[in-house]
Amino acid sequence: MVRSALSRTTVYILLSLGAVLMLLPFVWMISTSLKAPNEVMAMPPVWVPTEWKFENFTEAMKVAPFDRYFINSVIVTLVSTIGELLTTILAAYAFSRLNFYGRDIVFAILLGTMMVPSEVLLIPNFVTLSNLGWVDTYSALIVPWTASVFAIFLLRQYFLGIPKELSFAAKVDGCSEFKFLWYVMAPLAKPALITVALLKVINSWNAFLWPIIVTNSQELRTLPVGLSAFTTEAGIKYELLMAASSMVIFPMLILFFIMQKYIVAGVARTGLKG
Amino acid sequence: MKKLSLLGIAGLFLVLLLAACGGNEETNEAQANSEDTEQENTESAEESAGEEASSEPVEVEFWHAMSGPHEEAIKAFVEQFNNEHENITVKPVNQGSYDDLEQKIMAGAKAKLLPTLAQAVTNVVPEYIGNDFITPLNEFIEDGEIGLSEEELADYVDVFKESSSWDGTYYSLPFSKSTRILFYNTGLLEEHGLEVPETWEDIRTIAETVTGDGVVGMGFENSYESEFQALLKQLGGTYIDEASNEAQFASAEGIEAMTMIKDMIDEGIARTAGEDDYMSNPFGRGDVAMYIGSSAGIPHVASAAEGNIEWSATTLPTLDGEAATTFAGNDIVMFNQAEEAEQKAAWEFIKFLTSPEVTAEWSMKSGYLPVRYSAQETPDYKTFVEENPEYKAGTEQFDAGFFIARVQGGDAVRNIVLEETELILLGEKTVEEGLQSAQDRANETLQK
Repeated sequence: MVRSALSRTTVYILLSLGAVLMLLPFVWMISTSLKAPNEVMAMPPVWVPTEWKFENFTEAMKVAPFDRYFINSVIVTLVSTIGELLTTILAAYAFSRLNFYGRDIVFAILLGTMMVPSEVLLIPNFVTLSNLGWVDTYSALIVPWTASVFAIFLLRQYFLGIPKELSFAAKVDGCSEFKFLWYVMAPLAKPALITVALLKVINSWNAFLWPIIVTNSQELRTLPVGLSAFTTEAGIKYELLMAASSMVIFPMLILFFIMQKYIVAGVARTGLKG
Repeated sequence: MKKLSLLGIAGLFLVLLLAACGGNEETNEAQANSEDTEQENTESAEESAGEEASSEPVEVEFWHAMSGPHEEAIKAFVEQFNNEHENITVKPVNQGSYDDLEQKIMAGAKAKLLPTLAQAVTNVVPEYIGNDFITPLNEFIEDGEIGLSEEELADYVDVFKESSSWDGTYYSLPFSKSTRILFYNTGLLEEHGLEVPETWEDIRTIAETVTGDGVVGMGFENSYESEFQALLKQLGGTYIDEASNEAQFASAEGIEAMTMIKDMIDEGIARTAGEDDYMSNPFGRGDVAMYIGSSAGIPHVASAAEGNIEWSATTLPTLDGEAATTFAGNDIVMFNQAEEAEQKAAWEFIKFLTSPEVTAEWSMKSGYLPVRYSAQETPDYKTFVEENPEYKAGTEQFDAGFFIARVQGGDAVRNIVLEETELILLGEKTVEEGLQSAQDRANETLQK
């Protein structure tokens, strides 16, 4: 009894230490966002600003049209996540449950595309978009990101783990493939789908290079583009950058708190490390 | 019931997709509107017996990498220009950092979607010439009607003119230019009864005197290859020979220059920015008494120093009576994908941006250097420099200015030099070994 209490205490202390370590960057971000410029890089570090500069936030907002960028980020993230979920469910089902000629070869080719670094694809993709006349449109920001081989792979593996007997039973009851996918497979794969969706949301929310390459109008740009405005060749306005970052990261934090139990479950069940 | 939810989700997806497309239409409409106003403008221009030869409305896109207050200043200039030229509409577009802008230009060139004008780091201009992206400006400069008079051309600062031309052909004109200057802590110098340093010997004496008590005498930016180049030049050596595309810095002069920097750091009377990223931070805290850095860093020093220290800036120290300082920064280039009318309109905008009044105002707002000699004579600029004497350091050394060799792969060479000098400072390589290996690696890159 005594021993278990002791070991529990040790575990809690270790966990708390880990939690503190993970929280430090956030605390530093928020503390820096309230500092005067000369305290940002002060040695020894200043944890609590001597004077709380809330005006950093209003100042940061003036540097770029963050309200517009916010709306764009929400639109792009939402639509591309929903789009990716739909294509992923359909493709993963086809690759795991349907039998058609050349299925495994097509899947192997798809997996092969994951080997190509995205930097190499940047210019060809841009040329394709310009041929479609999509440069500087929402389509350019969204459509190329509505399918992900990694997500298909992840979900296919999950689908393969679901017993085939379920589909036989459903067919005996007169259920179509599509209905089976929608009412049986997809709900069963909820943890995997949530993982896919969350990874997508995070990537989409943080994407910088693609949005800046495919858009020219300020009206179409997203939050990370706004954050780049604080960096110049001769220095970085950390206090303003951190103020803006705190605001940009806020929706993600809320999302995390709401979805926390699914994220943990999703990561645990698919054996995927964040 | 279940069917309903399925429909609902499909419907939601559709609505979102439509919403996204709807946003599109809005921008299209906005564009159409702006075209409308353009047309109106042209009409009124024709009514007022338009001064420009072409009466067709022209749009000139200008890609740049300026953000924050700098972008605001550009927008203000563009607005002024657009108001003065009824059938030209310049559209400034921010494209992120210099690297992002470069990447975007590469992609745009492939897709035939280049703008008419762009800001370009002087080092990448050879890349654009090599790929046949940009158009020489001579036909515009020498044009009897819309060109520059001899006097006007002579008014462009020599070092910028040289860095914009290749064998007498102008491929760019200077825009946002900066140089290296020496920042110093006036309070600290006064406390020790020291004069403002003028030579490298002064720097050494001052650094030796003030070092101690948590203060380091002299500071170098992490990108101190500029200082290495300036010292090398003062000693009579060559960094990269532009004509033969060859790095030559591992010479006796190179070794002497590098040893001077290394000795000061080894003795503890100098340091690099290191973890502080930029020297403006430790200097502003009062941890470093002097440092050499970009004139574009003046606003950063000002905000870091506020309430901490008194400071000013002066020209770079001389060595044996020789003065040398690097000038770097951005030019404006014109792309050859643009149509003739667009190019002509774009030329008008280049002339406007580099006119004495505008470049003076740009300098006051941004901290970059004015690109015309006569800009310094404008009354506003004179008052400005009197109130902010630190801005004088840059323009005072125009004559000592040189620019980093403009070669394809110049950025790669810079990274190689920084890597190897890091090893030298850590003591893992001797100065000779480090410079030799840097030079070999640099030449491998340059001769590719």
